[in-house]
Amino acid sequence: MKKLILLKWLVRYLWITGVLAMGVMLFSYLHFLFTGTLNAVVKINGVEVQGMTIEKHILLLLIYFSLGLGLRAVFLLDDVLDYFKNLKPFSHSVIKNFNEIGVLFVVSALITGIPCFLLSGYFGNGIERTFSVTPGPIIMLICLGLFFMVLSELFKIAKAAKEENELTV
Amino acid sequence: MGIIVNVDVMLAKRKMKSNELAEAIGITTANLSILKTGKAKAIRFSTLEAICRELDCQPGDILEYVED
Repeated sequence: MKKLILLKWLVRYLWITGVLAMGVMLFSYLHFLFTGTLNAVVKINGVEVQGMTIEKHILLLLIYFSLGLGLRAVFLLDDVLDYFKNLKPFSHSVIKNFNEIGVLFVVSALITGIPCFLLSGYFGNGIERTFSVTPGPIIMLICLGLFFMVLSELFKIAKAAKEENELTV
Repeated sequence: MGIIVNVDVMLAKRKMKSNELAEAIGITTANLSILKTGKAKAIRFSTLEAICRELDCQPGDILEYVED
């Protein structure tokens, strides 16, 4: 249970810092937008974006939206950990939340991945073709999302087995 | 699958109460109620054997298949 409490603290910390970061990002974006200083060099995931066009604004908003989805997933994970803490691991909400977390991570990865690819390909220094031993963060996020979806299915099976066991006389 | 549990019918025939049967076969009254109301997903052979022994009947007297 100590590990669960530690995980819960970390997830809550992640959520609070995430919400603060999103607030700061939104404030900065609006500030730059209204003061007209957004034409300065902006770095998105390590890609330098010079001169803001309408397409880049849309891409920035997409990335912001995907961060929001990620935060929602963290919030749901915190909710799931509450159920674990209350010793209700096979609750319907846990199964539903795990599936939703998975979908959110996959959608977030795709929403982040496509704009970053476009940014590096068309607005950056051209598409880089690099080979690395470690998988990229987008692939990792998709794997994490699929893992949560599989976990949801496993919990569904486990819940059915538990109910069957309880209703065996 | 339409399996009907006729424990209450057999109990009435033997003029026995539910709690007496539950105590005799070593299960809780709550579990016997699950069995009687048809909510049970499965029944152990040991439970079926104990019920048949106490009610002096055959498994077919307790369980009945009815086509849906």
